[in-house]
Amino acid sequence: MRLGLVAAVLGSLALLVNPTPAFAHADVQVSSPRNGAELSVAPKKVVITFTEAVTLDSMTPRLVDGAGRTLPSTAVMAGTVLTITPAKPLGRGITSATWHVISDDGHPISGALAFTVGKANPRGQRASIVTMPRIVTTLSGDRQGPLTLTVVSRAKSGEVTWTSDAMPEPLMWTITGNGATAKASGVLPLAGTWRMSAMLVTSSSEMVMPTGSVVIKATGSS
Amino acid sequence: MRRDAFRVLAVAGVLAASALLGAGQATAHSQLISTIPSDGALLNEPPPSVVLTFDEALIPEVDSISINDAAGNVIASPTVEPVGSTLTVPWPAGLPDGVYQVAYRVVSGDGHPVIGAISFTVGTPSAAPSALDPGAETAAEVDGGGSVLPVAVAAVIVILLGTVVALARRRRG
Repeated sequence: MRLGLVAAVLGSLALLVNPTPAFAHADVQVSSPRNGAELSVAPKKVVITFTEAVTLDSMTPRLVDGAGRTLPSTAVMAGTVLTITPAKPLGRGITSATWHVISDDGHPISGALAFTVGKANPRGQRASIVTMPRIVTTLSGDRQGPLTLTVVSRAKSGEVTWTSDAMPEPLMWTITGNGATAKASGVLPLAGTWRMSAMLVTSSSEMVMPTGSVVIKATGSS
Repeated sequence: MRRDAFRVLAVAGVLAASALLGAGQATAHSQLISTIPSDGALLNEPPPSVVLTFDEALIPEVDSISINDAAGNVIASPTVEPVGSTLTVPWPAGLPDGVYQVAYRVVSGDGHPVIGAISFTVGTPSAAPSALDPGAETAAEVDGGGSVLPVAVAAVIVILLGTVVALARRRRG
């Protein structure tokens, strides 16, 4: 009994002194479909696996079509795995999933992923993005769908975070660079203004964070 | 029986630790709460240092800081040891007037990485910063949680910069 108390106190102290391992935050480890996937066949469900157990927030995970309509779905959280199943089979075109979860340490985490089913739509006009700091940044098109961001930077790694008023949950693209240009690809799922914030890691101790915005048109509009 | 009691106590200990660590944890991530100079500031003189204050103590030896110019070149990446929840970044001597970004990546006491950047203007840059410069504040937390505040702050900065440029033009004209 007394031993138990001592162990409990020591356990608490250990957590206080070295909280990092126990309280690291939860990330998305893997998802199916993966973020940015261009599929030929619609998935029956969207499965997101987090790096640690999370619980659902009061905001229900959503599936959203390319027009911004919420698709009826059910969401089940089991341990580290969130499964969102649409009530009706997903159609062709763009689908995105958004979620709000709470990690074990109480941190709210929101996120999004987007993918397409069927033939890719026309990308429209290449778009130049004015950033601060000014780094030459272009997006391969200006219509919703699969797009590639190119940044003139020697960064070898990093990530781009996209948000919009219609989708405040951050959509993340991974940046990889060859020493001269850095690229990131994914799907911008909705029309409207998207804000980008890129973290360009140029060395282990150096990073630059250009931010900017771009207007994305609806597929089929001119 | 004895083992059960042990378990109960061990769980209680963990819960107590979580409660101690997680004061206010349900509200939000750890985040930047104030800076000197402030984000978007227009300074006549270079600052002696840039002070970043977070709402939680920072884990030492894991932060990285980059001072970047308006063209996105990394001017300096000083090693700074946090004191509690504050990082004081010495400002490099001899930098020309211009718009600068200070990008940070820190890890708060709960192991949560916090990434973001602030920008400010020193002196009168030869190429005046245009009102086009969007989003001076970049609070891109790695796992998100969209905040309206950075957008509002950025909007105010853009408006202020626009006003300054307009006034300068009127004065010249």
